[in-house]
Amino acid sequence: MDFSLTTEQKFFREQVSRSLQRIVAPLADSIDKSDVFPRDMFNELGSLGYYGIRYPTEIGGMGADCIMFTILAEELARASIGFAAIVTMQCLMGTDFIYRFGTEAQKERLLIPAIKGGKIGTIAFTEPDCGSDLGGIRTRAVKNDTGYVLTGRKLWITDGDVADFVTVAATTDPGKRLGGIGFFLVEKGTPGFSVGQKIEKISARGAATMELIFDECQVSADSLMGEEGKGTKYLNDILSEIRIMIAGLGLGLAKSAFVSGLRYAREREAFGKPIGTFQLIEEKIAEMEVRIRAAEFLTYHAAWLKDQGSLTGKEAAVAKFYSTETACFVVDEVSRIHGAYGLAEEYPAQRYFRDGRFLLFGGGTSEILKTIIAKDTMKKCDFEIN
Amino acid sequence: MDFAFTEEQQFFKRIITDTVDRMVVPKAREIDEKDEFPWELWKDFTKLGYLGLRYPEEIGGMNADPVTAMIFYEQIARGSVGFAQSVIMNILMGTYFVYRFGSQAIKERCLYPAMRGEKVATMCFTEDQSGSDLSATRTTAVKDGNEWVINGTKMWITNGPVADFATVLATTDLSLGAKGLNFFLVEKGTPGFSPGQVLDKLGCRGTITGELVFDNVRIPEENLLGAELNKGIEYLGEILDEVRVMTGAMAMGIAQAAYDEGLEYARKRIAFGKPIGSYQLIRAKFADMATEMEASRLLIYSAAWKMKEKLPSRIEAAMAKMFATETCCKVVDEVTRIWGANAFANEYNPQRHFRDARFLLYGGGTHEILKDFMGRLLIGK
Repeated sequence: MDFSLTTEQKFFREQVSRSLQRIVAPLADSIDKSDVFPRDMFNELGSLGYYGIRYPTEIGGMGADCIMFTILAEELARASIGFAAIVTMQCLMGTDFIYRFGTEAQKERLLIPAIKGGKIGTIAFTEPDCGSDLGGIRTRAVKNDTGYVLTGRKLWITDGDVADFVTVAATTDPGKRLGGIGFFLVEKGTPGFSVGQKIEKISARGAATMELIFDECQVSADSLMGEEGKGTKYLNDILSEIRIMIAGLGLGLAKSAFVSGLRYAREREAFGKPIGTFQLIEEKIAEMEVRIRAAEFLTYHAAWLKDQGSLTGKEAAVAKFYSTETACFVVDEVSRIHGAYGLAEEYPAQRYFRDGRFLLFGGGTSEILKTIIAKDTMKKCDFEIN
Repeated sequence: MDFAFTEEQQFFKRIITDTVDRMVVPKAREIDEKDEFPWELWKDFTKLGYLGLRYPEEIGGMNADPVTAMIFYEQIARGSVGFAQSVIMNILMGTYFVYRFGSQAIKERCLYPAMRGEKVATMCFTEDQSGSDLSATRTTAVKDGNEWVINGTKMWITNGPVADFATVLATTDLSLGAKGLNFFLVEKGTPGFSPGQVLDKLGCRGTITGELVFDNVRIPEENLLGAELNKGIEYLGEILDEVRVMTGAMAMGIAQAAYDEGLEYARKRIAFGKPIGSYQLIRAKFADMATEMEASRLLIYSAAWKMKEKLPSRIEAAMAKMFATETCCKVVDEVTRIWGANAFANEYNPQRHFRDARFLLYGGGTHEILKDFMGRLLIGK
């Protein structure tokens, strides 16, 4: 057994941490307040090559492993959840289908520039009446001579207002539910594709979430990513990676909130001594410390399994569930340590408290994850030691 | 034993529930978004006489008993906790010391108009470095001839920036700690008394919370609100239980509003072909929420009943405040989970309830402080 990072991973963490603390962290508050896509920051980070972290060096990527990608997610969330949502979308969900299934021309036009930050990609699953239950997707893709015609509405689409291309989940056969879903590449400017209302929200501000409208939107035949009806399988191929990434986000948020709580507990005095010296505050600090460590182990263990090629869906679900719940626990306790100042806009504690919620839903709600974990666990009547 | 409300209390509950539904609920979102004192609603609502809820009929009050008062606090918070804070400040903390110790002239100038909504009242305890620990109060009151001179800065003052008069906690002797504290009446327009910065805050928006600055404020001798000098903490004890149970009642108001939203969503939102409310994990949430809300209400109303009967209620009040507020925080959390991502869209109410609940954790004593306090009473010295 060896729980330490490799030299390369350690070096990567130092480098990422330094860049993000310099470029992103000082602006976290203004990203949250303005809720506007931070384009300069996006471009600057793009020039450092991070958006290609998962992709091979031959196409301009970093060829990094899942542990390094998790480090990136964690460090991003430590700096700003809003910006982290933007970057992780660009690194993973927004570009992965085109990387796996795009034509050479599509890759040249969209993926290669996206890796450097020149184009923005996003993915569109969620609809007004379907979230975790993808089988309920109603957006239709109807085949015709020139390709497919897409019709439907998508909600909660990260970067929907600024994206240059969108990977859209649509069904070619609603009767088949999950078996009818395919992914289609739609570029900005395609007739019939438009951006609808913005969803004003309390968390992950800066990553604007939009409604996207497809009104008889004609796309070419090669816009279909892979094959018809295989969308669910393709999504499952990266679902665990998405969950590990979100677990990394939870870890980063928990750590930055924890540090702000520690600082306050040391500085603030009541009854003549720092509040951190009272047992009830010590208890909170101990609980947070233990849970963050446990979340860290679960998250990096899952990432390590992924790198070993032996990851199961359950391990990723365990990491996502525990890490995001830990983040929500920590931001709650940190707001209590701050007392009423936990609500004041001048301290980041209120932002952490709001941002925690963002992590609970994407990649599967905790309720759904629990059923996944339980169903998998119930298959065997033994406790499996990993 | 009799757990039922009296006929009069039931009647009151029906009326106030209906009034809140009609006047406050439709305005809640706007109050939160604007974060400005809702003058128009204030004028319409205060005409109904509720600001005199606790005071005798002879001076224009409603003479409500503590149980009835809790019904009111719960309902108004169900409508909008931002508005509820402003209203309750006039009903309870902002006017109590003026009612109890003010001269006839002071009552006519401040209390009676405040009961009619013509003046806005506030109460100032908190300072930058003192919250639950009142003995750390740094605002001073120094006697100079037949005047008091007040110096200091207060923070987190509900209604502070719009208040017409303030009951201010200050010490006559910094070395005495909690034993040197007194309440003083300071009216708007007194030289040296001015509002400072307004706090931009996460929850309870619409109640304007801010700083009040006292810079050599000179007030007459009779503005000391107390029969004896340096007994401020003792006088505060007279309403401490009511303030705590009131906070618990407000928590139940928010919890009920959130619960109702959760219920509606669980019934109509479909996942995997059936309403999410048909899944066990969602059903369990409702079972837990309803049980804890029922337990909270029993704690609140039994503590209020003890206050009405003049029975000791210090521990019971702390229990009610802590349990009900924690229940509220849990309910708003669970409702955001039931709502999924829609819970954090500003166009729906769950995110507001989620933010508002946090405000109740601190007023009336943080739960860390309350646990320490209760434990000390329970264990004995």
